[in-house]
Amino acid sequence: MPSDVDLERVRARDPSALEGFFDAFFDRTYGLIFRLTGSHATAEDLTQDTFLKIHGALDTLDPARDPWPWVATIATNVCRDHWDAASSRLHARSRSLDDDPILAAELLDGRPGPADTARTNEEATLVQEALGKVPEPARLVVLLHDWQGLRHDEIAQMTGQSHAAVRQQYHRALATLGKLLEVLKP
Amino acid sequence: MSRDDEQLTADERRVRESLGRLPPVGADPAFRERLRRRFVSGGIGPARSPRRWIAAALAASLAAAIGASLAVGNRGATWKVTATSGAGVVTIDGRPFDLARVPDVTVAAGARVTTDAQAELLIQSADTMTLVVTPATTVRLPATPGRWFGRRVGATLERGELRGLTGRRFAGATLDIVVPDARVEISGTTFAVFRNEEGSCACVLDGTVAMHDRTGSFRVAPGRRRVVPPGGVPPRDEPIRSMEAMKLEMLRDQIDPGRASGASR
Repeated sequence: MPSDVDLERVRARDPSALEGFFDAFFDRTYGLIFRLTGSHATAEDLTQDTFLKIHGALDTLDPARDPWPWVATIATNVCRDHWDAASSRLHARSRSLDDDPILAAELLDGRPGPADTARTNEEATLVQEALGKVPEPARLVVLLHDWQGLRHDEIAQMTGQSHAAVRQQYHRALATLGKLLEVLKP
Repeated sequence: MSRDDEQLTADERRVRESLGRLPPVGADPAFRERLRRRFVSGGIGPARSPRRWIAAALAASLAAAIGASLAVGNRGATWKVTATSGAGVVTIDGRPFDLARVPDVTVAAGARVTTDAQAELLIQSADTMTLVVTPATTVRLPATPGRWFGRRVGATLERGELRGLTGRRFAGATLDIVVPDARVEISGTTFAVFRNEEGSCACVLDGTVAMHDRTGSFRVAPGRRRVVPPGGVPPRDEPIRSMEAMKLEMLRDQIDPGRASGASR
């Protein structure tokens, strides 16, 4: 969290403070949503919804705390709402990419990031593809933990689950991902 | 990487390292900038899903037919500059205009208006709202409330002073004016909102406004003003200053002489 973002002023919707807040959290939010959904088109929609909800909920922002868990909670709730609204697609997503070529194309349509090498690109695509097949909420747990660096207790608080449940989902997700990465490896 | 001290197997550790090597995800810069602008201005709205193209296209065609007729009927009045005073330049969405040439210009909802140190604008949207953009002010204008929906509109006052009066067609609508230290919620009143070295302030001549600042939400009663100083200085509620009251009375008498009897909208 950059120290120059004054959360009191963010709460009061001061435009310059909102700019700083947006700059501090946009990339992380977009990145998280993209990793959860695997599609830039969906990530744009859901990131916009997330910042809409953030704007409406600024009165509840606690200036004494790191805002990232709060922001990530809103982002993940927006993703869940999206999945609930498209539960049939979620079902397809959790079965197999081979059964759903449209979804497979979506998952692979990511614009290339600043990858250093072709190997990194290939691995990132593979991991993203595998992530898309890990069922919720384990996918969320493993991303928040290993990609976003949140602790299990923070994730438990965000998702309303027990610490033990989150740890269990995390280990399941790692096991599933390990198998998927073996299967998907070219 | 997480601060949890995990007991991981070698396989789990390998997966974890793969996740940790995932590169940052870059968004389309144009999307980022567009969203940033809307987030800062408060003009952010819900996203429309671009997926399920065919179903969406069919639904959109039907909705468009219904929506077009509703939208036409719902559309609020546009802003028009109806009077000016002083001299100098007014900048509207980055384009400078000589004050003498501004009257009768139509100004879009959401336009960013900046007045010179000597220039003042009176802008109106039919019988919905009247706003006075005083000298040395920068404001992003609100949309005008729709007839049936979209009845909550927002403006951003970056600096200076905005005086205003709601009209007959504003009844039931809400205008939020965001100032650096607070949000002022207006639902039918003669008011002034300013932001200067004193802080952010809402003055009320008649009717009532609510002010939401870092200390909570407060009602500002007729004849009162609430000042929210920047920094940690506590806000204060005090009688409206006589000069401000006089300016607001003049505006009210000019636009809506009938309201002087005390009826608020």
